[in-house]
Amino acid sequence: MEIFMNLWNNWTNIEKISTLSLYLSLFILLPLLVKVVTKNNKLFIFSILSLLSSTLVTLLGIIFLNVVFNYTITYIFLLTPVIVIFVNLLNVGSSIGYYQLNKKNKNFNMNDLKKEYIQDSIYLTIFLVLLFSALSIFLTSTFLIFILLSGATSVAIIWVNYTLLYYTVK
Amino acid sequence: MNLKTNLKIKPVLNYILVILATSLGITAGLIALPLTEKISERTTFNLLTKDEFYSSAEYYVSLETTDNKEVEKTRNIFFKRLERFGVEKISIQKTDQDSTTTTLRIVVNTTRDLGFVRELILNKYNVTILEKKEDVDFFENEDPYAYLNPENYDATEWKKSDFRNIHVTELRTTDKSYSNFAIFKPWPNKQGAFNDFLANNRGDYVGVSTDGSVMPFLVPLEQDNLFAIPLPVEDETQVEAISILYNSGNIPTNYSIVEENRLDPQIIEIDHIKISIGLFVSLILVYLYILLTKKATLETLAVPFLATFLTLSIYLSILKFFNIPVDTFMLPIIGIIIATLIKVVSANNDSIFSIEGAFLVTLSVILLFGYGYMEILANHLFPLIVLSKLTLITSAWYINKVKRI
Repeated sequence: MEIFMNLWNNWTNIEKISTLSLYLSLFILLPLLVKVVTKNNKLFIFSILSLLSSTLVTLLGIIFLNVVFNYTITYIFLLTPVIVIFVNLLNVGSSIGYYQLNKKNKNFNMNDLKKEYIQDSIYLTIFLVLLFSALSIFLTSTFLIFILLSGATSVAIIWVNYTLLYYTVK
Repeated sequence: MNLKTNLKIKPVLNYILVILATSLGITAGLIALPLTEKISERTTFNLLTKDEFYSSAEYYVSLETTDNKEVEKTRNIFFKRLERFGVEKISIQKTDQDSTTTTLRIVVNTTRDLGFVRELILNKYNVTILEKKEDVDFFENEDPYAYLNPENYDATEWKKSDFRNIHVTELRTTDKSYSNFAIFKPWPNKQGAFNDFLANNRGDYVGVSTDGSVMPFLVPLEQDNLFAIPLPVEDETQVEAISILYNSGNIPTNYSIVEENRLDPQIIEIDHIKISIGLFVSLILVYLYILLTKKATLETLAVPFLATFLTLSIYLSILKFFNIPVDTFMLPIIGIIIATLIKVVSANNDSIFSIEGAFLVTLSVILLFGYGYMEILANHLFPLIVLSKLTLITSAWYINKVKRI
């Protein structure tokens, strides 16, 4: 926690307010968008939990890097949450789209959504693992660590999302 | 003899369009390639990276206060000024405090001119409005610059905080040329009182004092409540800096820079040539793997691959063509996000609305509240999402046409 406390204490109030406003707005607007589009409470809760887990997984990733590898976290790592949020949007967004298209279908049930979700997640994982690892060959030092952390966190969040979907949407 | 031509216009037009689209794609790809000048002397486009423009400095600022609220307010104003000016990385820390003063250490890492950065820190920009002393006559004075002397003015109750905005803009002058002016806009509840103040001084001089230096303003005789002070600057960056200084709040304490040092800039050094090649090679490898392992067919992969190639090529071409400086480390991040977006959207046609809608909401929020590199990233991604949408449509059309040929 020390890295976050140091970062927090060194920030000006404007930085603190801007950062909090940014993430709070995303945590309110994105689930609201899901609620408005799907009108489904379970998916609404799933989207909130998914965003919260993104934050948690990213923070754990950064702490792991700092504590286990004693690696200094620099300003570039502030971009990791942004990459993770975009991957999360792609992952959750594709299932929301599938639900929207099929919800009026008589034979549709939430198990179909889970099946579609796992398929999408596998493809997204393969794509991301290949893209991040192929790109990593060309990188060195801090940026390589940043890309590896962002890649690992992004892939982790896809499967955390699947676990969340499995338990929240029945 | 009756010559009958069997020429159909539509297929010919299609051929022409396909040829045109192919040549445009190849051109974009060629321009996007690194070190294009090595290929041809006629195309000298090269990517303008920000790396060589970065400079860094630290400033120790001594505040004449120990009050935490005043210190925090001052830190906020410094941050606001530097952030609005486009300084990429700002750190403002409280380093020392004795019985009367507090020291702040401001460290900047930026591609912006450090001279302006210093001015934004150095100037308090304490603005007050003054009235000419009744016994002073500027026209019958021995000193031709009497109107610039603060001693010839009396203080009034009007200060910077009474104005909701000081808008810096170009206005037409009496000689029909254009000059920069600062237009003072009072808060709505103070508008009436300010109009009365101007009415009381019609035909007379008032002065705007900025950190003790006075700029005179002759209040017009006719009914006109526009309070526009001429600014003796023309350089765009200077105008931008003055606008920031006017509109970043009131620093509640006196202060001075006690020490300043140049530092080695912090740059994430990435060879943009390597990374551009790496990005394209990575994409080819990823799509080849998906194709060879039969996780998708050639038909389903062709469109997103072409769209990704086109989006990134056009983006790099625009950066090169308009000499837009870019942080090289942003390129792989942008490449990853855009390539993944195109792949997911093309594979999930039913999710286009939800994915793109969520992306645009997120980017808008980042642009609204983000700062530093987060904001720079969002600025690049916003047009790229629109571009990726266009290239996806174009690629689907192109592949469909090519298939028919």
